[in-house]
Amino acid sequence: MSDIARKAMQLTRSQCRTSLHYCFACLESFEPSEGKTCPTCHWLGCPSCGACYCSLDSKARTEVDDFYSSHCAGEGCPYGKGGGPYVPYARMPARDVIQREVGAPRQPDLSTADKLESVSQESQRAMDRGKGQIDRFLNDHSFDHVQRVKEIMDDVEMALESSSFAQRTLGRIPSDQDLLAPKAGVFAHDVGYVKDSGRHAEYSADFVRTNNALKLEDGERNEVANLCLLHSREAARQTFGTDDISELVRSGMISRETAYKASLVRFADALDAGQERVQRNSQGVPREQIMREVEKLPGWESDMYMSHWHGHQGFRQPNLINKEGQLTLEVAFLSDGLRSHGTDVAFMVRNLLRDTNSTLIGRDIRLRLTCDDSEALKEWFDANRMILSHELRQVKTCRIESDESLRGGDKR
Amino acid sequence: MKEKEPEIETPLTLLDLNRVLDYILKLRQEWDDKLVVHMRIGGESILVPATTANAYNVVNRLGGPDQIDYLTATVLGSFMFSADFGDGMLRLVARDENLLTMLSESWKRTSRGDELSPELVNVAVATEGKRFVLLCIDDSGRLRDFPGGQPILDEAYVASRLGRIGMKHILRRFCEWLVSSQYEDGGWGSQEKSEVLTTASAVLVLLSPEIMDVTGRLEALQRAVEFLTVTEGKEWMWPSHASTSFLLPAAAILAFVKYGGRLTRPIERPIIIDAKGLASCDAALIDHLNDVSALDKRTVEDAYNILYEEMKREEGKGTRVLTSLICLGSLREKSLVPMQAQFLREKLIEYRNDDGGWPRRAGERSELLPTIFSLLSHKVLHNQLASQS
Repeated sequence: MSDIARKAMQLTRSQCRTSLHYCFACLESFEPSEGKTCPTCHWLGCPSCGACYCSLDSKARTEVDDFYSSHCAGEGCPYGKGGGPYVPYARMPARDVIQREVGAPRQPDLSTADKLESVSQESQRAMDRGKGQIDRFLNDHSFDHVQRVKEIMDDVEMALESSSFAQRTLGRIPSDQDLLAPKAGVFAHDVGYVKDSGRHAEYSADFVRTNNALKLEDGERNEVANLCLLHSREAARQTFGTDDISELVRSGMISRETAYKASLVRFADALDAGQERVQRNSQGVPREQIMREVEKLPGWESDMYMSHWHGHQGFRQPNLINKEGQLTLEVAFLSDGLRSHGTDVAFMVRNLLRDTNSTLIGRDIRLRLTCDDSEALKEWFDANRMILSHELRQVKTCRIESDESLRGGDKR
Repeated sequence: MKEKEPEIETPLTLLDLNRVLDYILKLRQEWDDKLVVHMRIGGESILVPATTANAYNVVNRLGGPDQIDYLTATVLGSFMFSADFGDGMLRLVARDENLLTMLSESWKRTSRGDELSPELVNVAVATEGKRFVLLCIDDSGRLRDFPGGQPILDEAYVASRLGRIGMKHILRRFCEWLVSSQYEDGGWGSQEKSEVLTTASAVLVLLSPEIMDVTGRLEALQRAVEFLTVTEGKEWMWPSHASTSFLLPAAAILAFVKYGGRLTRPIERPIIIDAKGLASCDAALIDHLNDVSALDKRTVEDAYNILYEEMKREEGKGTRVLTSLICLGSLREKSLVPMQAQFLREKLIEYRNDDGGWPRRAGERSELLPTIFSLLSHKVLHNQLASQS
């Protein structure tokens, strides 16, 4: 049997619920309506090369017969494969009948809210079940993080709409249906963390593609899975060679629409970087207890994790707002954190800016840094400006301001 | 605010990971406690342990080298050395020019070391290769021979191998462009004139099994093969030895055979190609010939020996000879022996540029076609060495 016939069987197996056929002689794909039935074998002749069952040698015929009888038996194939009632091709059902009867199972008409609820519930269940697998000395990757990202994304979307960024990018204000995929993407984006932190985006995408309890149509499912993949810069790099969403649009790898949605998910995820992220770990253990445990770790491990927790602790959750028509990213620092662990905080801000700059939103942002003690902020900025220099060059402006309202705030 | 500090940017590859860690070790010896070393890996920001062994331990614990975004060594107020693996750039910023020059010279003196783990090489080659190829696709979807260079035409068949090296999305984009840019007569070419070789090359790309669902592909293929049928001429005869006109008949006949069309003038079957002719093929063409079972073991063996001798005589300094050798090696009955495979992989990595691409000849600028041959060949070698170990 030829390699081509073998490949045709593989392709047929992988997509037998659709009407697409593959030629066993030349591997060309075709719609059944394009082929003419052979009067001898009753197979469809390939529109490209004319081959049918008669064109196969005896060994190939035996293998193809075995394939159909084992793979298609009892599947109710409307093309008469694998036993059951023979349906001549000449009387093949109309396309809409095929789609209704053998197409991928269609979801009943569900509201966007119902669909999101199913993704939220299933994601939470998977994350709660597997959270014990996550490194306990890293910041929160539990469903609490997901819920914060969801709230952040709602705020970001409002800012993008009111500043006309959404209209400029998409040519319209996104509808509820448009926002279904990014919202579902937020719910599912970190599900894979319970399996493998390094490959979590790929696992999250797999979760969306394969979990039948998610009440999503096929197209929606694919879109949400892609957003899960694109939320991670590492996964995007491995898939496409770059993590820069603007570059992916330029080269035509993703559409502007997908880029907008992926930017929403990635940016909202990046904004959950402030002290709220380290009040508990992924298992729900309070920060104080984790810090005590980290102190007892061997020297270098203790230093390593401490820097991670201190970095997040130096500022509150950043906000994206529309300030006089300009998208402004506000980061409110706490002077205690800047004085005690300024460098760790600087690296955390660097990460935030790197993630932001890799989205469509990054190019339009003005940065506003505030602190309860403006002198402490200026000192910190001057001392750590090299750490931020490359990333700051990509924002439109960076302003340092005092914010008295932060005085006496939560300084945990 | 202070004036902008002087800085240097230079390309960086993940193959420099050992070198970066060694360099940081040197900086630690010089700057002691003042040096702060941070890493971002798998999205998490952490302080890096002082010893190289522990640093590797952390890299592996947090997802592996391909998860590293950056590794930085900073002395506040003096300098920052930042190995940004995420975008493949090394950035050095210092308070003054003298310090910057000193740091830069010291970096240049730090060697990559002899031992690179196969896993690290595989990750670097795959990810950075994708980055280079992505830069070769222009806004319309056309592939260019290097970023900003000329569009590829006659050798476009090489692009059909993109699916095999994990770049199906780039192949798809190129196919969409091919479908949209086909001339009225069904062909492709330069200066609005259809040409046989360009058209045959385009057919080979459009026949790639990975992009069967591209809209309009089938119609484009039919029109292209009609064009080839109409223009079929004696220059299509399969040559019995290597010649400058080898590529045209090879691509045209392959296009016909793979499409399943009928040549009005019969050709000998199986396709006859002698060892010398085969030795002049590039890796992508060898791959195509193998697809249609056009190669016999004896010819492959002889062609392999011709190329191996050329390599030993140090004449084969070009990427084509090396990658053809690897592809033929993988088709030989006993395949490559591990020592040869190891040697060829080292050669392949030696030719590679820091931008993730390969040149036609060592030391030249990276180009798309040798990069695709090389990525294909590296995958062959990696799989073979992995299965042997």
